[in-house]
Order: sequence, then C-alpha cells, then structure tokens
Amino acid sequence: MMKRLIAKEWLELRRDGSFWMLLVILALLAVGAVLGAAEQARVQHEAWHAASAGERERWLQQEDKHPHSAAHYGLYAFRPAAPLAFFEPGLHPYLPVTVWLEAHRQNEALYRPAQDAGSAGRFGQLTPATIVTALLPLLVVLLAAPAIAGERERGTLRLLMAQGVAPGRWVLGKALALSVLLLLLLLPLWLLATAVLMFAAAETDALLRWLGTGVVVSLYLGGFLLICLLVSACCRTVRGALLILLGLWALGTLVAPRIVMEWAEWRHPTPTSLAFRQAIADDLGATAELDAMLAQRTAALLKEHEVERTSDLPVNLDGIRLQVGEEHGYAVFDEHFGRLHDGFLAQESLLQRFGLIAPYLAVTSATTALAGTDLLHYRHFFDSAEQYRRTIQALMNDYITRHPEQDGQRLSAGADLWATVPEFSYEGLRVSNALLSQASALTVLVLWFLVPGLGLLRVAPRLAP
Amino acid sequence: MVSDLAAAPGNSAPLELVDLHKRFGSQQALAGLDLTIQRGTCYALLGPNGAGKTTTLNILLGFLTPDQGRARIDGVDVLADPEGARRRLAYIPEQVQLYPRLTGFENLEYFHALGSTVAADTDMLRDCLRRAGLADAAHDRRVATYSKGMRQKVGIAIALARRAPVMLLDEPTSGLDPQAAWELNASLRDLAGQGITILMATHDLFRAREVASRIGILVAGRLRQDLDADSVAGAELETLYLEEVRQLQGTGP
Ligand SMILES: Nc1ncnc2c1ncn2[C@@H]1O[C@H](COP(=O)(O)OP(=O)(O)OP(=O)(O)O)[C@@H](O)[C@H]1O
Ligand SMILES: [Mg+2]
Repeated sequence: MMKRLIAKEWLELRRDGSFWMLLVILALLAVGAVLGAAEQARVQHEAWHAASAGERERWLQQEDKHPHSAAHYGLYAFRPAAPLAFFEPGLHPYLPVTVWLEAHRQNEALYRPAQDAGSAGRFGQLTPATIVTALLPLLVVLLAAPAIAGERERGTLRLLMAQGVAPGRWVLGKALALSVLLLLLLLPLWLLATAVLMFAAAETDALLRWLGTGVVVSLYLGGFLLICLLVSACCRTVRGALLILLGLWALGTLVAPRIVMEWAEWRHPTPTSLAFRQAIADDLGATAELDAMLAQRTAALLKEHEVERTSDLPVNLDGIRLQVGEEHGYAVFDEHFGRLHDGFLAQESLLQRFGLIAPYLAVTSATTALAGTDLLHYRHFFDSAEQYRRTIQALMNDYITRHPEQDGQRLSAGADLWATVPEFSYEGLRVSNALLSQASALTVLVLWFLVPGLGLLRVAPRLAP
Repeated sequence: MVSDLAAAPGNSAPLELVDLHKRFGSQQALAGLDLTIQRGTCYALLGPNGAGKTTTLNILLGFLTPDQGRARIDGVDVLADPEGARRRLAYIPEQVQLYPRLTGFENLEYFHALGSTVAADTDMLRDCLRRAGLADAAHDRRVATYSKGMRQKVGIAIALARRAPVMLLDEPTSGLDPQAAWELNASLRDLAGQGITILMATHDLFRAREVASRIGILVAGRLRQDLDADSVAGAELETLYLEEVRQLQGTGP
C-alpha cells in the first residue's frame, strides 16, 4: 500500500507543471549557492594561507631591536575559515578576521562589530542555510498542506475511506510518500555539497559536521512536514490549511525569533563597547594591585638570589616589571572578556531553549554551531590568539630579564630570538564540542519532531472524510 | 464471477438497519428508520430532497454516527467495526471525485490497490471500466479531461472491481447519458442476480421500477412504504409517493 501511495503521489507531482518550475528554480538556486560558496571558501582559504605566511615572514625578517620593541612591533593572527561557513556563515560576517597581537593590549576594539550587531543582524541574509531552514519549509507547506485537506475537499478521501482504506495507515503512507519525495529532492543537493567538501579535501571533522547538519535539518524539516500533515488532517479546505500553516511559518521564522532575541538581550544585557573599554581602563589603572604584585615578585627574587638590594640582582628588572605588568593585565582582561563572552553565550543558550516556541532559533543555533561559525567557536579562536600573544610576551620579557643592561647600552635582539616564537597554529574546536554546546537546541528539535508525530498518530485513525 | 465472494456469514440479512435516529441541530434527518434487505435484492430508496437518504448511506459507511439505533452490514456492526463493515461494501457516491492528473485507468488501479483485498490484474480492471460503459479510448486519458458522466463511470468501475457482497449507490445515474444509465441498470440487475445486495438512493421513480426488486419510500427520516416492485404499476407508485410526501410535508413538494 505504501509503495502504491508513494508512486501515486509522485505521478501526480510529475504531471504538475508548476512543481517542475519550482524544482528547477530551487535547484538552480541551491547549486549556484553551493558552488559559489565553495569557490568563495577556496579563495578565502588561499588568502588566509598567504596572509598567515606573509605575517610570519614579516615577524622573522624584522631588524634587530629591543625585545620589548619587538613586542610592540606586533603581528596579526588570522582566523581560518570555518569548515562549513559556505553553508552557514553564521556570525562570521560580523566577527573580525584578524586579531592584532601586541604588548599590553588585548584588542577589544576588534570585537566591536559583533557586540553592536548582536545576533539580530544575521537574519535577513540569504545564505544556503537560510534557504534550507527558512525557505524550504515553505515548499514543505505547499507540498503537504493539500495532502489530506485537499483530498477531503475534493472528495477523494471519502471514496478512499469507503473503499475500506484504514485512515491511520493512509496518513502514515502520505507522510512516508512526502518524506521520500522531499528526500529525493534534497539528497542530490546534500550529496553535491558533500562532494564539494570532499573535493576541498576537508578533514573528517568537517564531514562529521556536515553529516550532523544533514540530520539536524532533516529533523527540522521532518517536524515541519508532520505539523503540516496534522493541520491538513484537521482542516476542511486546502485554503484553511495553507492559511494556518503560512501563519505558523511566518510566526515561527520571522516574528518569534526577533522577539525572543530582543528578550534575550534584555535578560542578559552586554555593555556597549564604550562602557566596556572604560571598565577595562579603570581596572588597569588601579595601580595599587600592580604595585603589590611587583613588590611580591621582587621580594621573592631577592630571597631566591640571597641578596639585599635589587641592584645586586643578576637579572634585568625591566623584564620582570614588564612581565608583571602583563600578568596584571591578563587578570583584568580575562575577567572582563570572560563576562562579555558569558553574556553572549547566555543569550545564545536562551535562544536555544526558546526554540520550543520558535524552532527556527533552535535549528539556526545548531547549524551555526555545527558550521563552526557561532560565538563559541569564535571565542575559542580569540582565546587561542590571546594565549599566543601571552607566549610572545613571556618570551620577550624573559629574554630581557636574562640580559641585564651593561654600560647603559640599550639591549638589542635579532633573528635568533624572533625564531624562538613558534608559528601560530590554531586547532579549532571538534564537532563533539559543538554538539555538547547545543544540547538544548537538539532536545528542542527532537521534541519538534516527536510532538506533532504523536499528535498525528492520535488524529489519523479518527480521520473524518 | 462474483457469487463466491457474496456469500454472507451466518444467516443474517446483508443489510439490517434498526431504529436509526440522526439529528443535525434542530433538523431531524432520521427518525427511527427500520430497513432489512435480503440477499440478492436490489432495493431502491425513494424520497424527496432532505428525506435522509444520503444520511442513511453515510451511517452505513461509518462516516456518521447515529444518535440511536444500529446498522449491520453482512452481519458486521458499523459502529463496532466500521472498517470491517466498509470492507464488505462497494460504494458509488452522488458525485464521483477522482485524481484529475491520473488517467481513468490509473485512478481505478489506485483505488483498487489501496482499498481492496481482491488482487487485480490489468485485464480484469479494464474489463470493469468497459462494463461501467467507459470506452477503451478514454481509459488512458487524464481524468481532468473527463465529463461528469465519464467520472461517474470510473466510480462504477471502482465499485464493480471490489466484488463486495453489498453495494451502496447514491443517485447512481445522475450525469449519465441514457445509454450509460441503461447499461448501469442492466449491470445492477445482473449483479443482484449473482447474489449481490444493492441499496440505491434515487429520485427517479421510473428507473427505480425498472431496476429494483423492492422499493422503499423514505419521507422525513422514516420508511413510509416497503413495496415489492412487481406488485405496483408505475402510475400507482407515483400516486403513492406523492401522497406520502404531501401527507408529511403538509404542502406539496
Ligand atoms: N452535515 C449536515 N449538517 C447539518 N444538516 C445536515 C447534514 N447532512 C444532512 N443534513 C440535513 O439532514 C437532512 C437529510 O439530508 P440528506 O442529505 O440525508 O437528504 P437526502 O435524502 O440525501 O436528500 P437529496 O435527495 O437532496 O440528496 C436534510 O434536512 C439536511 O439538511
Ligand atoms: Mg442525498
């Protein structure tokens, strides 16, 4: 019976001209989006390679100078493109591509765009991900709204039921038929994107992420399909079902996410960039703490070398002072940036959970995390770059400390020291980290699929003709 | 070819309606309908518009639940086991609705495959279409291009292919050209002869007399007359009918 149902639905669709037109448009759109995005990703990757290598060269080739001058000479860390950014750019367009690494400062200024645009900015962008999660549900509505209501309105349902067809099995068959159809439509695109990924020599992690994205999107679209069938089963006319479903779509995709996002920002307010910088400056200016740290470190050194006066120490105190100054800054930066990030992440986890009323939020959250273009991934990169900056500072300051100035001659270092600084190599988060951060969103998506499914199982056997 | 499947389990009548009541708001559609139809009978249910004919068929199909009373098809209670009851039925609605993008043959094939327990091959199904009066040339044209009568014929073919022991028909000849109507009547007589029990709602007194072996007159939800078709002449039937209607409705129809 299921085979017959699927065959018949397919035959009807095949003979529907408007369906083919829709399909061709969708296919062109999707193929264009995937290929365009893949090419862009390739160009970006090359640019990233060139920029990283150039920057390394610039650091190694700098002329001889005082190590602290070298620390101020600075260098850029470049954020590598996320593996699936071609599908879901997420926050990337709003986040800096580079982090400037220099003594004394963590580059909060570079963080500004993300902070001011918030996550609200990313809606309204036509990316492959929004085509799939925002527009494709419309196709599902158009396909599934008439599935039951249409047969009821036309009268074929009456004739079918009079034939002794069990309505429960018939509805199940409809659901299956439509799922198979959707799968047949989407699978080629998914495979095309997979091929592009493999061709781009992506790592296993990226492929796992892509697989996860497929599952997440299937759950979301599947839930949508079940809701469409549930509404279709309860409506007398196709018009009624379409009206309700389009309303639900608009509410869930356009209206609710914005409201929830506003609410999340109100619930977990994050400071404006001006206030943020001011707060950091205030804490850095609190010299009492710095003086105490310095005194403590000097005392420890005196004891270690068993001397009375600092001038008798066999080390360069400038290096110690610089390093202590850095470490004082680290504590301040860590606290402020930690709080800022935590605020953003709290907003994001609220969005995930509010996916219950607007599952679009849940699916967006999950695909963005899987694509590696969310805040969590950015924070990881940002922290790694900061760690790298701290490594450079420690190396430079250590060199200064080990080289007391002689005869008032200014200390100078060269290529040998620069080469002790390792190349910045960034290991991104793994797919497991991404999944763990999305526990709420994934739960919401499973519920989004199960609840209408159970509803349909209850309604279907008592279907009215 | 049908008789083996038409055998009723036990010795209960294939159609048994007892004290059926159905009310829609203030409208009493059925007010205690009692009707028993014996095997191999073609029963014509006559009645004016709104008499409750379609309501009766809907109860037998399990699409409506009666407020009171019960109905059995081939011994199966329609309330207790609506799907089991439907399996024993073939039904031709007043307006046969099909899938316009499929051909007549594809429609028949689909409805049959989904609803019937009887396996069917292409030849058997094409034969049903022919017996329903649909010309071979039309079998493989899309239903969107069909006339109302052609759709009706596909509906008849669907019912014929089921080989069910009981057939329900609502205004079966509406929309059929005279030749097709005549062929359908011949078919029905033939089926009744093979032991199929037929209940057919109609307005057409002339056709009722021509095809049915028994005739009932339903007015205001109650069976007023239950006649042997051979025992009444055409003119007599018309007078009886009009009398019943006038009596109950006060004014003329
Ligand atoms: N779904 C419904 N809701 C409300 N009233 C209904 C419904 N179905 C039928 N009725 C009423 O019940 C009465 C019987 O209707 P029914 O359709 O059974 O008549 P009928 O004998 O088939 O008439 P016709 O010859 O016009 O087909 C009518 O008065 C009708 O208005
Ligand atoms: Mg009627």
